[in-house]
Amino acid sequence: MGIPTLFFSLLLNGLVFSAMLVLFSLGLNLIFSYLNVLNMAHGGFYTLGIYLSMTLATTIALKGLLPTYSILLLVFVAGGIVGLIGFVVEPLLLRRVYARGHADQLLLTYGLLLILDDLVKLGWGLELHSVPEAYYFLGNVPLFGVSFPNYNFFLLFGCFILAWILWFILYKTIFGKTCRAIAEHRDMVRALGVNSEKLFTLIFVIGVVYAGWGGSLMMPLTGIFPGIGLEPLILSFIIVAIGGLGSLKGAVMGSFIVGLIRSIGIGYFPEIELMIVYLIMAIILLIRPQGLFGRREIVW
Amino acid sequence: MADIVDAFLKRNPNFEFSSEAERKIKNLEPKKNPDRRVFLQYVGAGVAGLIVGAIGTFLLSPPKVEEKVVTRTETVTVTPKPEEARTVTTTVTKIETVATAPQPVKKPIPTTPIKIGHVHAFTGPAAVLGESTTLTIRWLEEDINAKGGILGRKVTHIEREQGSKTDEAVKEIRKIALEDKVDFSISTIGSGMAVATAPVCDELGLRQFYPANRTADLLPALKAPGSTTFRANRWDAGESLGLARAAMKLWPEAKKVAYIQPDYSYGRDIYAETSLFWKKFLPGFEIVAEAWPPLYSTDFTPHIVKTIEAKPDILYTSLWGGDWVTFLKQAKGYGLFEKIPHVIAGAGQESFHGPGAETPEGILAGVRYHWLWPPHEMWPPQKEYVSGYYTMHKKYPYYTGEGAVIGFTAYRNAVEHLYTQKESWPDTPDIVKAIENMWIAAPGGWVMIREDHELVCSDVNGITKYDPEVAKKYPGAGVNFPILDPVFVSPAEEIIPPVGMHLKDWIASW
Repeated sequence: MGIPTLFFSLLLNGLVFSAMLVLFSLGLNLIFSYLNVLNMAHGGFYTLGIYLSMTLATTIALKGLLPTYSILLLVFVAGGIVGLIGFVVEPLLLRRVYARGHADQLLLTYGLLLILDDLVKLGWGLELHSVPEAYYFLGNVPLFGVSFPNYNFFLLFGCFILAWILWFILYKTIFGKTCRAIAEHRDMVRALGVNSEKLFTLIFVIGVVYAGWGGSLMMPLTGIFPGIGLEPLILSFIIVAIGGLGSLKGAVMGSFIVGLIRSIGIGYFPEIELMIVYLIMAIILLIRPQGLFGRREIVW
Repeated sequence: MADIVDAFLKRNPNFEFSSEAERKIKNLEPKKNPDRRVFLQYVGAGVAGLIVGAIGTFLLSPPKVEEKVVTRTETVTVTPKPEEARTVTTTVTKIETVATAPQPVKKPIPTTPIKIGHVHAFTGPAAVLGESTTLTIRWLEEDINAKGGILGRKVTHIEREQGSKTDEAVKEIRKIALEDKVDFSISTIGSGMAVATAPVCDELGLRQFYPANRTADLLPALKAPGSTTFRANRWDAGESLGLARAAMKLWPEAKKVAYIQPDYSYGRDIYAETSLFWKKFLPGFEIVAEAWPPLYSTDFTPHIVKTIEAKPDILYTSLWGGDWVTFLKQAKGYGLFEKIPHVIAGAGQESFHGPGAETPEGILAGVRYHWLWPPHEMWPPQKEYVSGYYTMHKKYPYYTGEGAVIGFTAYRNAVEHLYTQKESWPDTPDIVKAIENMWIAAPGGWVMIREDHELVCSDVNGITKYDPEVAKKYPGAGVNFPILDPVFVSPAEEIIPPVGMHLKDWIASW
């Protein structure tokens, strides 16, 4: 395999990792764009998504209650279950800090992240878990000299569909228009009789569901342990810096930039692959401090 | 001067001095006669001085002279006349003065429990590393208390979370030393944290055993003057040299090596040591690819793809814990184990228990300690440990657990020996001295804690294998996770450098 085939196989791997980051950062940016809350607990919801997905796969699909292929459906169900937690968290906790500064919001959501991590430990223990069958059962296809697992294609396709669904909801439905309106001018939308509290809850739940889907779709690929949500959370801040805080388009572009640069950097510059991502972030911030698609200021 | 100030203030009653001026003025005031409180202070100081003097006199007093009545039988020849010499036996009673030193007072053994501190990552991918330590300490506590404790003292332990950063680990070490006041500590923390906490342990006089850290970076801290820290773990010398040697024996035709190493001190050390060894002794050795994933990565696929593309004969990886589990899954998905002829995993056996039967056969695994070697019928400490551990936890131990046994045994042997000698509970310098050059019957065989606080020991590695026959005697083993068969043992003299010598320098000197 010559250099071009290595490049294309690294590109493909980068797309897979980027797909997970897209779902994660879409949810994070959605919550920030429309609720003005920087949700540190996003990593905790991602972790919950992985664990719930693991539980559903091992207790239902792999125990024979449903065919093995049902794993492909169960990973979406797991993300949805994670979203249910949003119905409790938003009115109970987040609603109380909307009017307060980002520092208070960060503290609250960070505390929530720790609570979620501890719940995972209590519920599933501290041991490492792995569900290998979920990754292998779709088989492989030879591509660019490596055996590319077919599940990766499913993950790419699934992420594309979910991202498109979110775009459709936000830009092609009344609900989405209302969400964008409330992000532009909260008080005016309230004055028009819209129940903003219910709307905020729904927005938060959608954001959490996307974090859960990011985790549940990754479950077959990864080892499972408490605190696994930390890596995407850290990367999401780089994505937000590159793509722009509050921009969904920026979340998508930033995810692809980070995922692809990381993958190609590993292949060709292994000693400095981590540094390259931060270097790109620094260059973009120097040229456009608000990120590639970020707004200069957010009007509420 | 004070009179002048008084006169000024009488003329200017509203004037206010600055605080600095006030302080200076107060110094000008004449000293007042001592009041009753001051007098009592002086009396108290005098009484305290008398008490101290009395105690000192008692301690420094010369030996007492006692009178003892001694009865002896003497044989005397009485010769009133030469022709009438006869022997007479008389009993003589004498009063002799005998000087006796003051008899040492045997200090009673404290009745409070002996506390073991245990700082460990209870969460995250590193959690699996110390799980065996935690479970071993719990078993040791139950086992030793059932046998009466250490010199009659019960044993208890305190667990604390190490946190994710070095300063958090340092804080927890301080807590167990200063707040919990533990007698010694067996802490499973990251290599960087171990290097950072060792001087803190020395400063606090905390006896610390590290059952998980293999990095050579710990060596300077261990041998520092006044060190109270010890390595209770088979260090990376065994992994790098043991595995490199075994690979040359098993696969003499293999020359091209690829590395996937965790990007921190441990991974870098192993890379340097094995590559140095192979450069010297493996003709045609070549590094064809290297990858440095950060710790706790969740995506190794680019590293895997790149490594497969390089077509090595051997892949050497020291990924451990959660990283190994994730890497294993992704590597199998990409067919790495079919495409690369030989794989060496220095990960440690904790990593094989996690993924269970997902671990392929035929991997040369550096496990440091194997719960089946030495065989139980040959080595009772192994049998006692493994069977007790399994009975309590329904799991099998790995090397960090054996490290806990080593640390615990070292402390116990030291205090038992010292109390017998000195008849008082020993203090830290004596305990540390007693542990140096101590031989310990560890579950994995004899080990010795050297004068530089390093562990001198053999090292074990072997080939992963599934064998259902083993499961008949040891439930789950050889079926749910692999055992090692065959096993390769590297003796200590082949893998442990002399005192004061870094492993890399030792290899370079051959």
